[in-house]
Amino acid sequence: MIRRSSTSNSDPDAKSADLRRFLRKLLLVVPVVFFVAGVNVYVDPGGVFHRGQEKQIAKYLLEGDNVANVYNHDDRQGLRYYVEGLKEKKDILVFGSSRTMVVDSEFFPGERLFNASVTAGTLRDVVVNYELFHEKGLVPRKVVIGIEPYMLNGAFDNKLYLEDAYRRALARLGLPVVESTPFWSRVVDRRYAQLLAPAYFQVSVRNLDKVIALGRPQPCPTKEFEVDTQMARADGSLNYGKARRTRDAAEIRRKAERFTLRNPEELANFRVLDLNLRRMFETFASSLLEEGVEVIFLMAPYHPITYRMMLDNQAFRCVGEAKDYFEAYAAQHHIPVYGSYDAGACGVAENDFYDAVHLSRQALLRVFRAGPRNT
Amino acid sequence: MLFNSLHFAIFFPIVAGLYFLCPYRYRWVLLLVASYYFYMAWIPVYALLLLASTVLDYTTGLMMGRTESKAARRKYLYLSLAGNLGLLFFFKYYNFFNDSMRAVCEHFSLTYRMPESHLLLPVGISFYTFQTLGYAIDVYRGVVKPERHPGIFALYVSFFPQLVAGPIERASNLLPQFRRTFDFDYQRVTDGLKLMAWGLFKKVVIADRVAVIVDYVYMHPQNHEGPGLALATLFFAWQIYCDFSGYSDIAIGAAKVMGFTLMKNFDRPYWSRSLQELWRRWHISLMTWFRDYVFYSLGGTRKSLARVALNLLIVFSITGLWHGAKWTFVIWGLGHGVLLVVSLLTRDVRQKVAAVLRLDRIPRLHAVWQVGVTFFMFYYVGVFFRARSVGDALYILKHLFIGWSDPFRGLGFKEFVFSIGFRTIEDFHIAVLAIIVLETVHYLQSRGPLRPRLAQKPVWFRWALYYATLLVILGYGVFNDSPFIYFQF
Repeated sequence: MIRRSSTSNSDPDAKSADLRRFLRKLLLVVPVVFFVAGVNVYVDPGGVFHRGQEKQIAKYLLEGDNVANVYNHDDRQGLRYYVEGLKEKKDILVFGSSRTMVVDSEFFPGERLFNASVTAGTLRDVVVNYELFHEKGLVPRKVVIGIEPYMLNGAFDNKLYLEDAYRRALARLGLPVVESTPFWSRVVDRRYAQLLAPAYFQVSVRNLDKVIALGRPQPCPTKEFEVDTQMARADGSLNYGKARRTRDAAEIRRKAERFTLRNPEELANFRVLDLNLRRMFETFASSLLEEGVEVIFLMAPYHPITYRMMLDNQAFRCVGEAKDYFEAYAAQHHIPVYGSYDAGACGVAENDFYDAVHLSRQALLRVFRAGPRNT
Repeated sequence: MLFNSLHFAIFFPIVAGLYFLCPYRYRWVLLLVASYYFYMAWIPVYALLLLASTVLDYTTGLMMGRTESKAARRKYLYLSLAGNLGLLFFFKYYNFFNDSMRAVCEHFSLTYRMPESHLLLPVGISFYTFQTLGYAIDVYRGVVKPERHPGIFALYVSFFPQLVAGPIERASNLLPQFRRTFDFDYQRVTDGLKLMAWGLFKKVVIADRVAVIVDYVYMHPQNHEGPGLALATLFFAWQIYCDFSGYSDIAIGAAKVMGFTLMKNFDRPYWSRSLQELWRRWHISLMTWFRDYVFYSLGGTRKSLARVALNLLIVFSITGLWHGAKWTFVIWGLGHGVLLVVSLLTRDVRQKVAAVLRLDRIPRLHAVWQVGVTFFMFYYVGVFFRARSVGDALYILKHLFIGWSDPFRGLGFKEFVFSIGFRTIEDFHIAVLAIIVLETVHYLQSRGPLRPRLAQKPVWFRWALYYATLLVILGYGVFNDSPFIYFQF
């Protein structure tokens, strides 16, 4: 039994008057909330609230155009629209993350390639995006998988993959659905969390004048091979904007150094190679091989400073374990492995990077042309 | 769960709302469930440690209450100390001890084969361990009666506002509050919310903004010279203060919204005129803990001067070790101990010098001098607190005064600012401006409490200030869910 002493206001009228007063004052904060939401929706630097770009981009790509002014669109949705409109098979499909987005047709001369890599692509994305092609009977001859160590980190799931296709893919592969998204995020579109997000508000404010003067950047079809803005090429590859392509060595180095200071979200709490993800990877890769698809693993190098951080820091020891696991799997199934996380082993230098984790197209092409490491 | 996360922004209003709607008799249940949820949002299984600590001290407390025999009571106290400090040692100090032993053995060409622990340090273990230890010692000394209600005691150990980074509350202050019935009180709720907003300002606008350059420079100090090292160290002084006092403000404010009064943890420490004063105003809950349970147990100031000096060195070395299982922290603590001993030994001389120089005629200048010297000592020794290794710290201390003939290394100010890790020149300006605002508020606070003076201002002025604070936090805060530095302790 708890004996209590009271510091409460014994007058119920005074209590409710206090509450009413508080709620009235709370209403005065509402304009700030509306202001933040209004600026975020109006500027919308990430294209969260102004949908429609994805369909437009997919349409241009299907028509064989490159698309300039491609910023922060939902590339997973864009891929879905693209596959819906695709009529014929590609010879080669590339799946992975932003680190493999620069792989283009020049990597495989004479073959029809489409790069289906998505921003922050996870193993689930690889499986789901392949499923989109598979469902339409557009099974390619060859699949390039951009192998990322974090693909086996059970503690990381950005939950951006296409949920419906994910369930269908697992059903086809005979795998149980391991629920990774909480119920509320399946009911409410999680991108709407940006409505009141302070970080989103700050980017919106920075771009407010530009949007007022020029409007939001619109995707624009072009036949140019390289433009100043970020561009999606007709083969699905990404051409970074001029500002990123022309970064000087000091800035690239600073970016890599800053990257090592934070705990990268995708590698946080990476303590074991997740069993479910391993099972998913093995089942998926086996199914590709059983379908007669030639599989290639691509390990895009990390900036030397980033790689050193991964080697030196005990918290990232699973990066090495994941690399060994993928290489062992490749050896066992005679899968060629191109590249290495270690830039030094691939002969690329600091200046070949755009930042801490993204290698330039030319450098990655060089790595690719050097051939597989395990044959 | 971080105070500066969306998760907490949803969690807290729900808990506070339910708290006032909940019948008084079930409120402890609500708070206990909320507190465990708060803790388990990180690594759920580590809640078992919290539970183990709770069960241990609840039981030993009851057993001590049931016996009059001092020997028996001491036995239960030792049990509590062994259990709590054992857990703390295993999770926090095992690898430190292991590495140190290995180094010693290697030095003497001996074999040492103890395995490393890969367990993560449980968040806040030093805080809740010390809080429960304080309870056990108080029960042993007869200062508080043992708590018989297991739920209330579990809430005392796990109360979410102060669970992971303090203030380390005394049983005599917090436990009785769980038996009081708090109704919704407009003044208290709004005061609590304002304090939370102020804490958030310190954390996201100042601490997280300057963290970028502190981390950058201290990651590779060898890449920088005096001006860069000095600026990063100067910013670190505000980073550590704003990070921790910001957390404390949010914790105290959150508790206040629900009616609870937690102890003040910081009192404008950088305005102190001596190191003794600074340590009375810095992390007050921890320093009073060490004073009451360690320093006084060693004899306090009642012993000879030599013994008092030794006690100070012991207490501050332990204080350093409490902050982290690294030699840098031990040296940091010991450094402060040495400075305090020197200050104690030279007190008479300094007073005589001040009298000869007639500094009493220029009290303001004297005060500025004292504040400046005190801050510099704290700042200088603080290098050990932040450096990644003793070698790095020594390098920084050695090079702090080198390279000032060309402070910007021929780069120009803007390029210099980039070279020490700022992304834009605006980041630098915002950081400096925010620190000026902070210290202006501190100055105003030194002239008396701000709240009554603010309440006298016209309503438009107050609301303009509230809107400005909100917009500054939203517009200039760094929102990347960076954890509070003191979580690691």
